[in-house]
Amino acid sequence: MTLIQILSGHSPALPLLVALTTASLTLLFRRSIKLTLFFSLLGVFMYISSVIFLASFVRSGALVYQFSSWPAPYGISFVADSLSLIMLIMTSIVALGVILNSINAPHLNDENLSYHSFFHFILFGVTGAFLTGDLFNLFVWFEVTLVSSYILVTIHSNIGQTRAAITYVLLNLIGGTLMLLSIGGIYAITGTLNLADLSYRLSHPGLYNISISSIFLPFLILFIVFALKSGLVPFHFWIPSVYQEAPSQVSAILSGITKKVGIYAMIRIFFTILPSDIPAANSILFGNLSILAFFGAILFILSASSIIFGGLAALSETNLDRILAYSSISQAGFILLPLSIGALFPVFKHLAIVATIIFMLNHSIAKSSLFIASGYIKQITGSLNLSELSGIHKSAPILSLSFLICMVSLIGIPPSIGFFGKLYLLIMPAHALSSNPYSSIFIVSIIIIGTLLSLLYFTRIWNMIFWGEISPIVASVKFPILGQYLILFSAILLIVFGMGFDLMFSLIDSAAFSAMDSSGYIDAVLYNK
Amino acid sequence: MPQFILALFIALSFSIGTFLILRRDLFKVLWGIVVLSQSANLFIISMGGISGKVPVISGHETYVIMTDPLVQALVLTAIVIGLGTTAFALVLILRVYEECGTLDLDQIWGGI
Repeated sequence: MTLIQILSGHSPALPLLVALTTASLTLLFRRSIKLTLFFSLLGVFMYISSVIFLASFVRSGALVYQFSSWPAPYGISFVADSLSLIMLIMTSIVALGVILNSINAPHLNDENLSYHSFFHFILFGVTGAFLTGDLFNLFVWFEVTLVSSYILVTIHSNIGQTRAAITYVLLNLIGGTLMLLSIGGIYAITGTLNLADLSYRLSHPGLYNISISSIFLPFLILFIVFALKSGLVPFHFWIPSVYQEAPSQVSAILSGITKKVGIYAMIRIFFTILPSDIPAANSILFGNLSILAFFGAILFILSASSIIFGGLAALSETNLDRILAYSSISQAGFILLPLSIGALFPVFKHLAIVATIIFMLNHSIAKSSLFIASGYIKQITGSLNLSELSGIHKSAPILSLSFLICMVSLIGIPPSIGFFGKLYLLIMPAHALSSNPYSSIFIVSIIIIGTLLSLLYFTRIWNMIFWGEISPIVASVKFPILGQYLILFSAILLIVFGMGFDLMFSLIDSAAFSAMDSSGYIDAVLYNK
Repeated sequence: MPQFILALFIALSFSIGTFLILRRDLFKVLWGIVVLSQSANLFIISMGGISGKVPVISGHETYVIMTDPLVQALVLTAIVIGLGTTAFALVLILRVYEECGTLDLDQIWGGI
């Protein structure tokens, strides 16, 4: 057997192995900055090639990998389908952007900090979370990601970072406990934790003696945990101070990669695993509403309020990082709003998941580049205050251009990819206009208000920081050209994805199909079809 | 009856944990989270059933009632993860005390 054949048999485990090896190597050689940087860069490129290698095997349906060849419901299964794959591709793009922009950051490349090592541990945890087919294993990957992100958030452990991390750490510790509780509940009710087996048992409750009405509570707790990870409104309060205090590269990882884990888990658990015809617990209160529609209603309220609240709060801030953080809250609402419509109206399920995936891609690339750009501005000028910075477009034109492109994509103006997210989001209420006029108009007005708010706060950033006369702080420094081009690269990616949307769409479309295809998921994992 | 007492005990420790989380002292908040996560572990253990008398090994096929070993494996993993995160949170609280000179949550956030 050649090496390629051996590797191809283990292709779903490869990205994991690469990330873990790189994390260990960078930890081992942390005394030498050059070696650390070399291994870190090599690791990211290896990670990307292992994701591409995995992609070449996932054609139709899901690729299943059973660890140590234990058969499905007993061992831990890894499932690589189009949805997981698109998340991994997104992760690789953001990881490459972040690591290239970390090379020039002296405050991160200190031998006492182990920044690169924990960066790769985050990749390790996130990859596991995107690929795992087991509920408890998902919890473990969440914790791997979180523990590494705790360390990155408190990397300099100054007063601001420790204070911001307290809320972040304690909140996520409670979140972990809640997730354990719901896992215990689900195991007690269904007798399995393998996601495919869980889905099968929930759709045949009679066979396994499952009382279907009691499943509501554990799934509600799980929903709360995922909403907390993705930073929706009642659980958003840790975001602004953490994103402000953490180094910008870390904020880019948090908003670009780890936030998407919660959203991915929401799609996976509530659309692939949970059968859509299960009625909600209390039939007197909710009529014959399905459990999915019930969560759709909650998710709609949460994401709509995130859109409005995030937009309004971003308008009142004067620190660039804090504006971007509140914009993240608002964008999380935009990412999950289509999902809630899809849960409420099963006709739109496919369109909804397509819109959610486009928004995720758009937000990951654009927001991480914006954070990297803000870190670059802070590194050069030493300030992120809107009133102190002005006229950057004269001294750093390429940086300003890339910033503009990212903002345009987040607002949703063509030809960027963000436009297609808004397009697919608006198609749903447009279709439902004749049958459901009031709710469609309500949804459309929320989208319009949210987009207007994002237009306002981004225009405010543009007017105050980039346009206008050069302020003394900006006049006294020079912006190195290399860093500017690195940010431009990911900004151009947004336009390329938007221009070549036809090619992107086939990928996103198959991801949306595999997200809805419960029976395919079950067949692949349990029966190796 | 033992099930009832166990359920009552788990409920009690959940309420103690919740009470501690709502305190102003950061240290007590952390202990509250520790108590909560331990009660979650107890909850998972009790979900496997406590009526079993023998472990799952060969030679015990004649006994019908066995304790579910999976929940114990899960709880072991959860305990280890909990140990790591609690250790990190303790160090973080120490750093907060060094930086702010207090563990009173109102004063930590009041000094901005």
